[in-house]
Amino acid sequence: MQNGELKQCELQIVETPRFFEAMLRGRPYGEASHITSRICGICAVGHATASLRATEKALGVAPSEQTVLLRKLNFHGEILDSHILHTYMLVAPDFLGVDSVIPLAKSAPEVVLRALRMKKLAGDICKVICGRHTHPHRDDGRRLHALPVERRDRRAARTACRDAR
Amino acid sequence: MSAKPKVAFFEFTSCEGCQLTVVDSLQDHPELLDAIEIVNFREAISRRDHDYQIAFIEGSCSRPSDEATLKAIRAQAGMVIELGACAHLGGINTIRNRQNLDDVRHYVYGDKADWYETYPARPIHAVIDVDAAIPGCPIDRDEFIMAVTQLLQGRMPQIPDHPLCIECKLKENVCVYQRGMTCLGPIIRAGCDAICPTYGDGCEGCRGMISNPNFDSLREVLAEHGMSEDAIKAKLTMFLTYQMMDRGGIGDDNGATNA
Repeated sequence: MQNGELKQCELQIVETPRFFEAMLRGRPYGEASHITSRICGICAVGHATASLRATEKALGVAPSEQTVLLRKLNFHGEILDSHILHTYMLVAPDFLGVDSVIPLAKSAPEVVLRALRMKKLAGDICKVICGRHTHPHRDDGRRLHALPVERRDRRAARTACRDAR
Repeated sequence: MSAKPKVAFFEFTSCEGCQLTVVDSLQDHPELLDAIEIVNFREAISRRDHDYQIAFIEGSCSRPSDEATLKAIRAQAGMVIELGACAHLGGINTIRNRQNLDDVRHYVYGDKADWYETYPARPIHAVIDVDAAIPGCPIDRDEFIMAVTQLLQGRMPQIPDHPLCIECKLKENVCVYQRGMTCLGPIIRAGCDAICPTYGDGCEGCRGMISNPNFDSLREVLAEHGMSEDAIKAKLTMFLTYQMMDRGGIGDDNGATNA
């Protein structure tokens, strides 16, 4: 940019083709969401859940209301995580006059620490439901193997809420 | 060490989840930024600096034109470390290695197949020498921090070489076989805190096999638990296709085995 005018714009597509559609052929349906979550580590829950819905449609089964609600909560965790990554770690450095989040950690540590705290809360929401945000467990279309009602989950949820304050 | 070591991160064929895990490891260890200088990290930094001592490489090599980039990284870095299953094992990218590549390309891209350069996916050490690997899909945050700590102390990262079952027992998990499911834990490298069995799934093998896997016993156990030969083959080729083909234990997808 020069004087508010765009001088040069670059588009780089560095990603290689992955061939997920072909890789999934002939494999057990229970693996599908675990393989497709590897499309993207940032929105793994979205890819895994889309795959689960496709599998469930193909099999003609409907998830319980409880499963749907837990999946939605999981989505909120991921969306929160992704938006904090975008707003604080990728966009904020541009507005605050530094070239990345790393010098920002020196020039505006309170901004970066707040972002890391919120990102931890977002990650912990996913952790309580599916073990981790990149790449989720528990839910493979056959059943939710375990519900987030165990003691370690309740403890994780309490710690997450406390840390976020 | 007087000056901070310069560290670069690179990604090839991958989901970039391991680099995200590196960013997430800052949540508990923001002091990491005081210990190293990150000079290259496309996922989060626009700056590109090609003066570095340590290179972490995420992703598999899946096209010939990436080999030159990898060789340039090897020539620059004193230490090259594979980051995550795609780099370390080839990961899920190698699932297609058992299929006819031409068919794979046309199935996905139709008459535009020629637009996309590709060849059978491979781990980074199949292209250049590497000094160490941090396994997992994705990597474990704590193990990454531990590995960096050890590198800063002048030691190589200490990655476990005992089966996951040991770690899983220490977590007091009920064995997933007892819950009517199957698991690759007996032959897979520990170090992930048995995260999949802890959250109710069987181990899928993302950290790769230990150096002396009791393979025949595992196949026997999987069969005893009702898995067909096809199901066993699928289980052993989610993350482990490259290793299985390498040891001649699995054929291509047209049914031919070289076991």
